[in-house]
Amino acid sequence: MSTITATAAQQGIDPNLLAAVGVRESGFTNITQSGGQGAGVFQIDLGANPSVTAAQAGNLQFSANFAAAMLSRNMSSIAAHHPNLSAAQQLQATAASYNFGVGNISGNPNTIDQGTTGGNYGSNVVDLMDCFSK
Amino acid sequence: MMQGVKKNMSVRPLVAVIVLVLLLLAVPDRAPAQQAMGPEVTSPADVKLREALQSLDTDSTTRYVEAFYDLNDDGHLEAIVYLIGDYWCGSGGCTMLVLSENGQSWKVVSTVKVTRLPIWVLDEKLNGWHSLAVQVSGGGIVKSYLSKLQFDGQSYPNNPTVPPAIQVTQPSGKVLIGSAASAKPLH
Repeated sequence: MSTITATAAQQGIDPNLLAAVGVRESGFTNITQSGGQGAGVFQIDLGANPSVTAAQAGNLQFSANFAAAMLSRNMSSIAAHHPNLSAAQQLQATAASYNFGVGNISGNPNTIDQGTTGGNYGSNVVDLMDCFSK
Repeated sequence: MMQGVKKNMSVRPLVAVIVLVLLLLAVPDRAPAQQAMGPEVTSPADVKLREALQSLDTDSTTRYVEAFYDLNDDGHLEAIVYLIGDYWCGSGGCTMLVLSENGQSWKVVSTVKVTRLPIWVLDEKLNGWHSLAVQVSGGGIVKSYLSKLQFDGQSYPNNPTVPPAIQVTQPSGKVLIGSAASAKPLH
């Protein structure tokens, strides 16, 4: 957890958010799917991120930093573009955006998770965060 | 006999010269055709499609791959587009659009999120449109699979990881977009 805590602090995000994403993605295990379609604890898509190697995705320090940086960027973008969302909704949207891209956040608080994996990604990650904070 | 051989030998250089001249004459005609197939040259339909896609996107790093197929067998091609970049992608994959020609432009028929390649068009049809299939993985799916998307009369399902999308193991059809290797910058 020290890697997660330190990396989250560097990127200015809640370490529970980063840890919860790792659990949701892979059960916090180092999984590499065929064709690079999801690699490492944070399931980096190597096709969409050609600058990332399989070895980097499988490295916890690298992949945690990759995920934390994306979450940080998305959080700022959502706050700027969707000020109508409450803090809790922005957190859920930030988690959802890690799964399907920040461009798919519409700003409608009732449909944040629509189109995410399983249709529940953001709310599930927020629930998992509660587990870490207790 | 010897005279025949000598005659043949004297004719061969002439034939070779004629063949060479014909080949040289052919080269200028072929060169422009090969250039027209290059990625830097786009058709008017490509330009209109790119303009329609640009209106949906504000990320200067977005790339895309396109394929054209007559999904509803009406004689007009639909565009199937795979958008790549932080704006459209995450751990579950990227966003696929299905667009149809709308006069001088293109309109979005379906937006399907968390999709991965390959994208298939299936032989089967529902409500007049061919079904599609996309790979899904990531976001908690630790064993990827192919998911079938059936047209409901208005659009395709927007999420291949939940019903009505269903897993398919023996797809009958063909791959429309197999990889992102040919992805082009959108802006």
